[in-house]
Amino acid sequence: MSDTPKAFQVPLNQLDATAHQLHFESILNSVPDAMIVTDESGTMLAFSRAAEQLFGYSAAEMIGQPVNLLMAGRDRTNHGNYIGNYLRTGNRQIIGKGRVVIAARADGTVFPIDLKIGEARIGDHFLFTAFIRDLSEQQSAELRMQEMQSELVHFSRLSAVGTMASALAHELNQPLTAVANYLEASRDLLDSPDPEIKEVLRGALAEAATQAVRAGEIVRKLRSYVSRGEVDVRPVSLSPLLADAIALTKTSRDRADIPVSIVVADEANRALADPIQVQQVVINLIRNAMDAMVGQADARIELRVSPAEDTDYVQIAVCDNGPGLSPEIKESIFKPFATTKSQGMGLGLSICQTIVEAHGGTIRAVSSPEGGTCFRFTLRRDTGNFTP
Amino acid sequence: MRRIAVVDDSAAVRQSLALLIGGRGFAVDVFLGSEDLLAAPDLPGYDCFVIDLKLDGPNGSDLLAVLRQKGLEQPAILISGWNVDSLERVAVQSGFSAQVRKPMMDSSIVDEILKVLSAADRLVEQAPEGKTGAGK
Repeated sequence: MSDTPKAFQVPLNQLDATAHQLHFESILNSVPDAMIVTDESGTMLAFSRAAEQLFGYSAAEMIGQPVNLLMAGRDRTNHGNYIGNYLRTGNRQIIGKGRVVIAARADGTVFPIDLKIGEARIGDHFLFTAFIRDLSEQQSAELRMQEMQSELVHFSRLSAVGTMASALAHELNQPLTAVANYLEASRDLLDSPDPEIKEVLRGALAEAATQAVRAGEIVRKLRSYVSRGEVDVRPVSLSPLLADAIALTKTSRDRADIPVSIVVADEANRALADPIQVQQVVINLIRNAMDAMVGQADARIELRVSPAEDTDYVQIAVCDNGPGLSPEIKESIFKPFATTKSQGMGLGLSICQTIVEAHGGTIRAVSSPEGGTCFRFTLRRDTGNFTP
Repeated sequence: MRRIAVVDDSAAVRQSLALLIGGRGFAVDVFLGSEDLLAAPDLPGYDCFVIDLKLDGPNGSDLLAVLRQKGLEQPAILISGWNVDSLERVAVQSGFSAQVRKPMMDSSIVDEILKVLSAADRLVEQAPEGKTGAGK
């Protein structure tokens, strides 16, 4: 990194006092949570830019003022006692833990905050650093998560698993980006001797962990969406269901001219299935086949529905005459994130497998004798005595 | 201190970028969308814009177009979590100086900021008429 400004090429702990102060101020301006430093009497010594935005006071107004100005209700009057108690007894009510309290803005409105306090001892004196997160914003983040879920549901009604996977990839990228940034920033902060910086570091790592958990939640929610016990299985006639699925794959022009034929054996037409989810599987398989045969002049796709070896099941095969699967990819094809597509996430087939298995069936990929690939999956046959 | 404006609709991305970029010695302001940025008191005071492609309301390209219409010629970097091949084309066509895909690895975003700023500085040196640097 030859472009790095000179001041940042020396370790932070070797900076002189002025540079040190400047660096502290830059942190104070960029620390994402509102950050307030007080002395042991509760007098504010530093007030970050995020705190200015959150409370509606300027740092200039607040420095030198008692911190209980920012509190509401009981905490406002009792705050002096909290610090006194701690200094006298060493009994930690809040230091090192987080707590939800009610704060007051300059305009008098009150709002819930998550308050975390770190302490630093300088000689005989204590400095307290408070990190404050606006919980009203967290509430809106939860709302966003719900919206996203319903978006996913919406996507899945309209189109194929591939679209869902792409939306999922984008949603996952947000927390992953945050994790990467927080960790990178933490590495930068590691060498700083400032006790306040240590708290910033702690906050950044906690936030990175939160975002990593959030990424996991997104995956879990998606999985539970496609695989939860709520698969709406009912007796269906496969012919019209598959015809609709084929029509849905023809929505984009570059795919429309690949012919897709369908053969349904009469004795295998009735199955127990969630029609939308089975359509998702079929659409995904057809689109994969189309993607594998881009530019191939004689490309064609055939759907065949026939009785399975196990007579309790029917088998649906989606076969193409494309280049076929290489042995390496065949091994891992249903594993998440296995993909041969430059833009693919490798989730489509993994989700297809989840759906098929939730129906009590199996899915596998085989090479077809005349070249190309067949994906075959099974569904339970409708024997006419289904009870929901 | 060089000033950077970051526009992203995800709170986590905004906050983490502020900490990362701020820790490298820049003054960072964060905005959650076009409206928010355009209401900022001192737009000409920023040295670089970092803008997410997909924003609520007008997207990142539209936002940059509005900034350019207002005569703001500072370099801008496009960031995006959508894995599309066309991202580079979108970035170039919309007049961004660089683009970074999410998730961002290492400090690629800071490297890009340093790069576009030094390119802009060179432009100013070549045209000492007092024009602010335009990213190309």
